[in-house]
Amino acid sequence: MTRHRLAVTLPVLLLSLVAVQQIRLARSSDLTAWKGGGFGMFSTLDRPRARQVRVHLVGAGRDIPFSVPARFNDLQESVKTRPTERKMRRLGREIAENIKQRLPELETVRVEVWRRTLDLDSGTIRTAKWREAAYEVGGRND
Amino acid sequence: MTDALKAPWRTFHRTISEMDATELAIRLTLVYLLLKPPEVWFLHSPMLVLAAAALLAPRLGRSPTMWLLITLLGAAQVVWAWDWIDNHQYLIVYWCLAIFLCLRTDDPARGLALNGRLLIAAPFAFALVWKLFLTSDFAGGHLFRELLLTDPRFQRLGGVLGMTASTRMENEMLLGQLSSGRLATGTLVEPASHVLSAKLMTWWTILTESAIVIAFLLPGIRLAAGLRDVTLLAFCWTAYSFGSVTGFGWLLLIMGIAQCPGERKRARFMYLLTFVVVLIYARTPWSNLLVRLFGS
Repeated sequence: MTRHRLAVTLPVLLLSLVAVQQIRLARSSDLTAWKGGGFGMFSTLDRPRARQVRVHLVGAGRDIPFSVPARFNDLQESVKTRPTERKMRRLGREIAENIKQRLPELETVRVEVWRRTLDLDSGTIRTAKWREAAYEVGGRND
Repeated sequence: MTDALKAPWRTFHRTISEMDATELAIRLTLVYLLLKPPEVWFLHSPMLVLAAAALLAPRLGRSPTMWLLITLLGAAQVVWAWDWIDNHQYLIVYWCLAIFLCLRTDDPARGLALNGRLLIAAPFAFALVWKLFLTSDFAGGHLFRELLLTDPRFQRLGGVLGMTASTRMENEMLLGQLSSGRLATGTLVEPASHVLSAKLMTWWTILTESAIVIAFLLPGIRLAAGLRDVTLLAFCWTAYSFGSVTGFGWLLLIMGIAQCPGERKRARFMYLLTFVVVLIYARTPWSNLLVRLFGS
């Protein structure tokens, strides 16, 4: 293959391979169509802004909503756009490692992904828990 | 125009007109990388340093090794954050790879022009596949209705299209209560005018995106070249007018310039002007003025 032919085929070939793979993943897993290199942005209502990550700290009989610090933004975004159980537990583990010194009674970090839906006929907007995973501090997680 | 302004304008005009398409596309890509470096923190600074160095030393900007390094940094971001970065951050990697590969050929301008066309047509083709065949939200106008109601980036457009300030505030309060968990359900108020507007926006999107795919895949006859410029510029002038999205728009315009030879001076200047217009759209509250003039 000449250098010119390689130069004009490789970039678009890579783009197409990634995009086809993204379509496959978005249809077979929870990956939003808006992300992942398949150019599905502005095609569906199920977008990252319609998903929300909520974290709860559980221990000593209490269940407290926890505001995720900015340092976990990247992982939180990743959980939102493709919530796998493994990633949600990883977010729980990283949060637990970060705060367990200050919260020795912490037993579980529960990570939830909520999804917003809108019925345009009635204008009814609804938010409901969609995915959930828990990280048990000092327990068996994997 | 006064003489004091005419001289720098003439210099700028001559410099841009005489610059070959590859040089111009490379310099604009470096400007793009300075304006939109990777979001992943450990790749951010290295990319800024490489892009600044290549911009300051034009010979570095034509070095395939430099573009290989830039491509690898961009690719590292894709590997690291593949499921949450935006699609234009994938596209810039393909484009930098194209620059690297073309700089190794005897005729970089020819290769970059063809890459520009293909890397514009392919994303729009996949975008159309998603919109028309893989979801049911887009074709009926549902997506734009939802965006006009709930997306902060579309709020100003929603105001121009008939949403009153008080209705918008009520909707925002409801959305805030939903995201804080205080409420699980509620009813958004939608102006009747939004339904028709959303349908028009839907069909305009399908029309312009289809036209871009066709124009950029047509063989290089003169009529097709004009059609490419018109369709891409029309898309950028309209699609980015209200949303604060610059990354994708700038990248499309850079690739548009790469496929626009120096003889098409007017088109080249229109691409450059649109590059600035996309910036103005995103960084100035110009649409607030429209809301005041035409909004309810």
